[in-house]
Amino acid sequence: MLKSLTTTLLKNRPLKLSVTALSLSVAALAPQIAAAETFPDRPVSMVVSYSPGGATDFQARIVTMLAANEKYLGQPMVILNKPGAGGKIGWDAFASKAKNNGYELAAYNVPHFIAQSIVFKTKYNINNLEPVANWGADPAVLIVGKDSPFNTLQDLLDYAKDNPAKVTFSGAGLYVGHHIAFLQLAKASGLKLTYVPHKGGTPAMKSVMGGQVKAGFNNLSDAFRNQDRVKILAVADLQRNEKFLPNVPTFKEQGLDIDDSSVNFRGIMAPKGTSPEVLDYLAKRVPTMFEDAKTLKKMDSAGSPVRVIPRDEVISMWKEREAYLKDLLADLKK
Amino acid sequence: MLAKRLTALGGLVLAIVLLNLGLDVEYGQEAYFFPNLITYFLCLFAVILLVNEGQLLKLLKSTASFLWRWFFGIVGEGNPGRWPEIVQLIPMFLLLCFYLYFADILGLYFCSLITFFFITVIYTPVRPRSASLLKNALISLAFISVIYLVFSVLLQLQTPSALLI
Amino acid sequence: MLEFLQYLPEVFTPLNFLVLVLGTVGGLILGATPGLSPTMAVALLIPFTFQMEPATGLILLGAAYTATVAGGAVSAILLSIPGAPANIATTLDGNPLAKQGKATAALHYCFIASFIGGVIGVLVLIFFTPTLSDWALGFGPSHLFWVAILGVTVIGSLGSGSVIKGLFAGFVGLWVSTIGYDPVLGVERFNYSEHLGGGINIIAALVGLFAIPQVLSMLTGQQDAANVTKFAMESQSVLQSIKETLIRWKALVIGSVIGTIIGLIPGAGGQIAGLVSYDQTKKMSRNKEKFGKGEPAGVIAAESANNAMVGPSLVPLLTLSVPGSPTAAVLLGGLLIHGLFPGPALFTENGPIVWTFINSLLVGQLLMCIFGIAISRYSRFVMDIPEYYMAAGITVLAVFGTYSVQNSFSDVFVMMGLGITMFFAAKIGFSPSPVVLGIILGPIAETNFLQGQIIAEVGDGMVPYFFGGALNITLVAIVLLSIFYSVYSERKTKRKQLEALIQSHEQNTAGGQ
Repeated sequence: MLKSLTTTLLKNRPLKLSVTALSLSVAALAPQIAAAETFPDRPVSMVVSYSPGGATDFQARIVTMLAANEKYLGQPMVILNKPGAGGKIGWDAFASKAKNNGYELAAYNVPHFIAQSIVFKTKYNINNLEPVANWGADPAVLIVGKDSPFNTLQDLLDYAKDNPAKVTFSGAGLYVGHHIAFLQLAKASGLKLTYVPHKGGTPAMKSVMGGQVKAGFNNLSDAFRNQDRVKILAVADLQRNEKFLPNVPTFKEQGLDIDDSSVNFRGIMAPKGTSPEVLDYLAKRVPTMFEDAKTLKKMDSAGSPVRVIPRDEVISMWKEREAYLKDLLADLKK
Repeated sequence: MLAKRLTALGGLVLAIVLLNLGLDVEYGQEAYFFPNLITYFLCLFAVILLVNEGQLLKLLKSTASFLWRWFFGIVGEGNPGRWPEIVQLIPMFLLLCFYLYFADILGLYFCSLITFFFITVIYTPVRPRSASLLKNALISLAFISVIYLVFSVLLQLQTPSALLI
Repeated sequence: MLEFLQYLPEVFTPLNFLVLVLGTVGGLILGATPGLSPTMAVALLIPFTFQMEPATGLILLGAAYTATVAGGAVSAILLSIPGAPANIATTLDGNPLAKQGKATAALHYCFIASFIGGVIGVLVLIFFTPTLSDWALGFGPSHLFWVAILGVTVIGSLGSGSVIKGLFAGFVGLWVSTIGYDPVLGVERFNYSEHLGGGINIIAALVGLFAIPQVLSMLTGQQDAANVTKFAMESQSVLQSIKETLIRWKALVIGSVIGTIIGLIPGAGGQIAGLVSYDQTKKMSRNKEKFGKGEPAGVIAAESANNAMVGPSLVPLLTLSVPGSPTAAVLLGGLLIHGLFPGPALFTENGPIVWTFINSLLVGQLLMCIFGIAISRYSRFVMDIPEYYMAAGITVLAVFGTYSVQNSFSDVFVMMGLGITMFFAAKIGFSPSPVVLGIILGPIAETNFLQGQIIAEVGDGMVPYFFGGALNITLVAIVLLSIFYSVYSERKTKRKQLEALIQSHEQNTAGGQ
């Protein structure tokens, strides 16, 4: 009785003021009961740590557009942009301030946030965040300009062998997927290469197209769209991308030991301490929302590769990534 | 003349402080190359200002008295009949502190309403102030309603969840 | 070439035209609000275009882009608070004009110049897109570095009075821009508070530096009788304004050309277009001393430049998916959401949508001009509002505008801190425009210098990289010319002043005898 009273009152926004005291006392008495059975009874927010219009932002908007559907959450999801410092600002604020009631979620980018939590003094790491589900995976690809003399990965590596450190690679900043892929390439080939960090994927792509750098790592989706200006030499993933680039081989096929550690995984997460009931509820319903035909169609037309991964697998994926990145980045610091 | 000299000196002090900040770092020295380059330029400009705009000798003599007068806004042809500027602005600064501190506790729209109302009440030149209280309140309410319409309804800005809206 | 005409009727279907009109009027109002920049307006509108047809959605975004750029001039002229970084140069002469009671005329000049510059920009977009996109790609780190340095040379001439003071303020701005994460090495610099972690946001700085000192001086009631709000408004016929704008064709040409070129360069940030062309117009003008005191040519140059930038900033966006301005970067997201992939294929595969969009930009310029001029007539009502209401309103708007940029209270704190500091700095003769320009140019100069350094060190070395090639040499030559000319004209004015001083002194002594 009391519970239903609070919920009806809380739904009514203008009444919020008068109910504050009441709901506060109720919330103190029975925090869990109200949460589990009626969740969600108001809109759910999701922090995106990148600016509006960026790849993560518009993909997040597409995959959450059906949240209000009764089949899924029954409540809309509202995107909150908190960009800055390569995502650190948004994630820092999320990890330190978000309430763990299930109404405050965030989008994650692996390996970005894991690498940052290793290199910088951040308030977040994989232990104080809980994945809900993964919606997309955008592998890094190796690109060169259309007029570049290199036609295969081997051409590039041969040149790099004769000209140590002279091959410049562009990428979207430090400790992001592109940088990880570059580090892996340098490690696997044993060659001296030069990385030029850019302020995001688009400027990095421009530098390759304009010939300011000799090569670059970029998102598969962006490279796919710009194929008339760049040549794609290799994909940094475990298998080829059959849908968009069936003819581009992986690094592994070309004899270099580079796995999928640099793949840019995007998904939804909640702060640590969110009740298991709420997490279960989200983990069950959110993936089906990602797989809705409408969402898939829109993602496809936006050229964004979808890879839905359930919560359990994301948890182990995060752990593997952290262990691997700690190793890779420790080499770098020497 | 004195004001100009003080400005230049202040500039020099600022440049040296900034340079110090940039030189005294724990790690990542190479990242401070650019900011430090800028502060060298700042020092240069401050010195030019100093040389250009006045002799240094008479400086210290009147510095203290000038600082005192400048701080209370009684420099130049000020109006002696009025409160010094800094005193006039004290309520405003207090209001701003209240506004920024409570905005994410009490709610952005509510705090804006209070701030708007008090600015208009405190700085109304009409006496007695009480007569215009109701009018000010109505205008504040109308203004915040428009703000609410534009930002919350039209642009769907998300404000932090607080006690009120 | 003329296939765009074939899609012109599409713009006038009832729904599209309605969206265009609403977008234009809304954009003018949003743009006139301090703190709501074009970039923000477009970003905030993108979710709305979700439900619309692609063409209609893009028309809304395009109209908002065009109109907010022009709308920012309204508050720049009336209140001396630029609506967006692009309008900083407009305050320099627009506000003095308004103080002389010529606010209506100033707004007319501004909208007419915006219209002419805007149309030239869109025509460049329509006819030269394929030719220019390759040219835009050629800009590498070394070239962008020189473009930023060109901007730095402008800083000196923006100071009120002394060049050195202007430079000092500008370099303080440059230093402020280095707070936060280093763009290339990823080191956290000067981060003494969690509010500084994200660096200094340009919009927060703009609002703080311009709006807050204005509010504080309104409240101290220090302004004399001829102050901002209590001036008489003379009305001027539109025809007269058109005539007076066209007489100053030199400013129009300089503004449009520089705006177009800067808009094309990806990463230069169209925000400096207005300032650079203002500076050039001033240098080439015969009566330099009138600039900064209400010279219509200043308003015309600044406004034609910042609207001329709109069309060309889409050239690299539509053909290469490389945005030419921060707003164009947000538009890219708007295009992708609708499944429109920029690239040469865009014009063949989605021709109807793209051409309708470009046409709407053209028609939007006209609507912006008409509605803008219509609004200018009512600007006197803004002027009648008592100062204390104005101050309260601007305070609240500044907080909302800054907060909404990235949903962050840290930005609001930074805005207030910078604003209150600026209020005191203004008392000892520093002006806000050089500081903001420094904050804009800092990251461009630094990022490109460091990237260039990395590339040069493994390549041919610093000197050949930064000074080699026709484009580098041209840019360096422009920079040197700009510096020499500043020094030369400064000396000339000094000598003139000295002569005048001696003369008056002689007269005084003569009179005394």
